[in-house]
Order: sequence, then C-alpha cells, then structure tokens
Amino acid sequence: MKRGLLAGLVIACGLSAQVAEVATIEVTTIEVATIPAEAGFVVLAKTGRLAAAVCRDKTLHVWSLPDGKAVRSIDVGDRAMDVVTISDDGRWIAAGDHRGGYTVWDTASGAVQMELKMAFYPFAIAFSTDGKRIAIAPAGEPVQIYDLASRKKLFELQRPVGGTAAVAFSRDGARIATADADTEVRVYDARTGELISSNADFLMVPLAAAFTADGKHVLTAGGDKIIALVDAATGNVKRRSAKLVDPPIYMETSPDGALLAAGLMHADNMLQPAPLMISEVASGRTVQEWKPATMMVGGTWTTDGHLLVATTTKGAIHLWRVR
Amino acid sequence: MNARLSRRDALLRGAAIGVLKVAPLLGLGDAVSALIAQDKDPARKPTPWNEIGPFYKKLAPNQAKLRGPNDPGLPVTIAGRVFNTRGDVLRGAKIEIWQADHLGLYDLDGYRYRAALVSDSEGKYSFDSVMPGHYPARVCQHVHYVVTAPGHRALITQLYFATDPVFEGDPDGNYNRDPLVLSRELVRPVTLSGDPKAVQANVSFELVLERA
Repeated sequence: MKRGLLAGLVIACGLSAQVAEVATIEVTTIEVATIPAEAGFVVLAKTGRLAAAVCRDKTLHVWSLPDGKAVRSIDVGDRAMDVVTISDDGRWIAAGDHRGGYTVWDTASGAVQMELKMAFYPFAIAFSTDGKRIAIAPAGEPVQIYDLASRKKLFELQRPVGGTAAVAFSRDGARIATADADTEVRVYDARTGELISSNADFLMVPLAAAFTADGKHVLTAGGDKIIALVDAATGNVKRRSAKLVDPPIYMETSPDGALLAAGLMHADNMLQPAPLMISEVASGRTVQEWKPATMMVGGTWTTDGHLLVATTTKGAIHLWRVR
Repeated sequence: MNARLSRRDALLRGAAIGVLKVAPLLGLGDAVSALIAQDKDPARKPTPWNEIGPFYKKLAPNQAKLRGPNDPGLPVTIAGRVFNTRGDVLRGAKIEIWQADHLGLYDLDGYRYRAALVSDSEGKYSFDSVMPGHYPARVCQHVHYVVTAPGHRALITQLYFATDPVFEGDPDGNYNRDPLVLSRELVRPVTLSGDPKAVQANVSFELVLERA
C-alpha cells in the first residue's frame, strides 16, 4: 500500500473568526479512520511540533507540525490500537492494543523503549509531565504506574469495579487523579500510590479528569454532564457547572492554568461531532464553544498557549487552532 | 474432642442415620464418592468479563418491569440464576442492568431501561424490557450487567443476542464482528413465544461469580 502523505498548511480557512485551520495532513492513499474503534484518533505533543496517529495502513505515523511532513513511520502489524498517547515533549509515544499489548516508542529513533503484555486492552494511558513515568489503565483492571527508564512497575492503584476511564498526573508529578468506572474520582500520591482522597458524588461514570495548574484541584466530568471542581486533598466538590448538552470525554487545563478545554461526546451517537467548550477555571464561565464539522479525534494545549484540535475527514487529518 | 470427621466419614454416617438419601441403584460408597467429586470440582465456569462501557449509572431503582405498556420495540424477558464457581446459589446478589431503548439510545438523565435487581432465595432474577437497538458506536445489541455479592468478585459483563442481525444467523462464526464481544458464551439464544400479533422474546442468562 502506498503511504504517500501530502502535507499542506492552510491558514484561516474561515470557519469562524476565532478558529483557524493551521495544518491539513492529507493522506492521499490511506483512508484515515473516522471511527474511534478503528483508530480514528490523533495525538499532539504539547510542543505543538508533532502529531501522530495509527492509520489503517497498520502504521503509526508521526508528522512534524505545522508543515505536516512525515518524520517517522512505525509498522504496528495487525495490532488494533485502542489508545495512543504522546508525552508532553513528544519524546515518547505509547499505545495499547485490543489484545493487551502495550508499547512505548522513542519518537526520535522509532526504537521500542518498553513493551508490556496485560490481560486486557487499555481504557486510558497517560505520561507524567516530565515524561519519566507512565500510567496505564487496562480495561477493568487497576491503574499501573511504570518507570520508563528502568521499565519497572512502581505500583498499582486501587481496583475500582469496572476499572478506570481516565487518568492524569498533576504538573508537578506529585499526584495522580483517576476517573473510575464505579463513578468515583480518586486522587493518589504519585510517589507511593496511596489514596489521598475520593469523591463519590457522580451518579454516572466520570470520563475525563484534569488537574488545575497548581495541582490542588481536579476538574472532572462524565455522564452526569456536569464539570465538577474537586479539592484534591479532601475530595470535596468546590463547584459544579451548569448541566452541559453532552458528557465531556476530554479535559485539559491551559498552560497558564486559566482555561479549561472540555471536549464533549455526542452521547446518542459517539460518531457524530460534539462541541468543544472552553471555560475559565477560576469562575467556570464558558468563554468559547466550537462545534467542529466532523468528530474531534484529538487535542491539546500547546506550551505557547494555543489549543490545537484534530478532526478527520475521509483521507485527511485536520488540525485546528481553536484558540 | 478434637477428632474431625473426614468428608467421606461424615457422608457415610449421614447415610447410616438416614440424613443422606441414596438412589436405590447406587451403592453407598459410589454415591459418597460422587458427592465428594462434585464438591471438589468447580461446578461452573465464571461468566466471562466484558467491559462496563461509559453509561453505568448507580442508584438505579429496584424494578423488574423496565418496559412500559406502550413502549415500542420487541418485548423481551431476560431471566437467569446467580451462582458462584462452586455451584452455590447466590441469593441476595445485586444485579445492576442497563441498556439502550429499541432505537439504541441510552437514557443518561433518568433511569429508563435501568434497574438494580436482587436475586431471590433460589438465586433467580428476571426483568421485562425491550430488545435493545443498535447503539451507533457499537456493533451488537447488548445489555450491560454489574453483579455483586458479598465474598465474591464483582462481575462486569454484557449479554448479547444470537438473533442479532449482525451475526447473520451464525453467532458461532460471527460473534467477534463486534470487537468488544470477547466470548461466544455471552451470546445467548432467543426464543419467541406468544401469538403472531404479540410476540415475546425470552432469553436465559446465567451469572457465575468468582469467589473473592
């Protein structure tokens, strides 16, 4: 199969005054998946300089941004990847497949840094901010924390019924937050794995979690369609948002800590596009809402303060600078 | 007295005093051996795990009638018993179920097609619902389960239907068309009853929990 990639840069495509398409990665002969189960997701480094996706040609592609040039291709064979993530600095890419195989690659060389076999496929994978540790949440199993340099498991977190839907490190690396399938949000000491706090206020499964910049609070939301600001030390909810139209499945705070980006999931049909909300962390006030024409398949705040979002259409990955 | 009866001794004594009834054509020793063997072997395989999905909601009502009188869709009664792997009946087990409606839509705001049942003294559970539609991001029709009982590991699984059009009449060959269906055992036969104007589907789904 031909793997040629045509990259282009399209500025200000005119969707709205605030949204500009900064890059289009056109995949001329590879039909990039538009269904999440078929690897329709894109990961973006916080440097804003790398994007990666597992495409239908069974290859993990890495592109430089904003020019969209292919910088690396890694054959993943017949592995159907359920989750792919990238470290903040873009050095590592981790992926977990449907048969429980997990790999961490060095983006620069393509070399495998770590390989694991677990009982189940991943619900979530996250790197610590410094890229030295990785948290893996296998479906239905406890989150496992590994040291990347030594490839050794440091500890496991608690075993919530149903597993963990989302996991996040605080920026200082001191805490880990989990959004768990038993509807609880838990915060752990990232050095020891000891539970610091938990919150059981949600009726439905929280699907996303993000620490505030200072690590003192967790912003979390899910099927309840309410964004809660949770005190990481006590587990108490400090603020609840008004009810949203759909559940958030992606949440991340801006580099300066002032804004929260929340990507929603169209609950009646996950394959349909849903809004991206940007709100003030301090007040909870929504400052921007954007509904992409096609489903959002990735996004991140870059270190220079932009919010990049990826969408796909047949044969192309579109990267949007939303803010 | 510290002497302890062996399992065999206890059964033989039980038979001798009439507590244990033995089939007439079965020798006493054979009967006792069979009972011991039955006790030693795991009586049932644990129900396979299947992922919980994003729409679990706690505090569902204890209601066996999920289907309203005018609800569209094929009526279905799903019933079964709850055991552990030793074959013990689990009475009082909590069985939380949730599913999409006949169009494949989940109720996130309320508790429509959601219930928390309790197994009875024989480990039985049952509920009346409608055949779930196909949720757009999933391949197969399904019902979610979380089953909990003291002293046992929580069972999280999903029930699938052999009549699902996705299987094209061949669930043995096609069950894995949905990548989330990891086990053929979770695809259950569907029997139809009632007259042609009021067809009712019936499904049996046994639940087997592992001891903690």
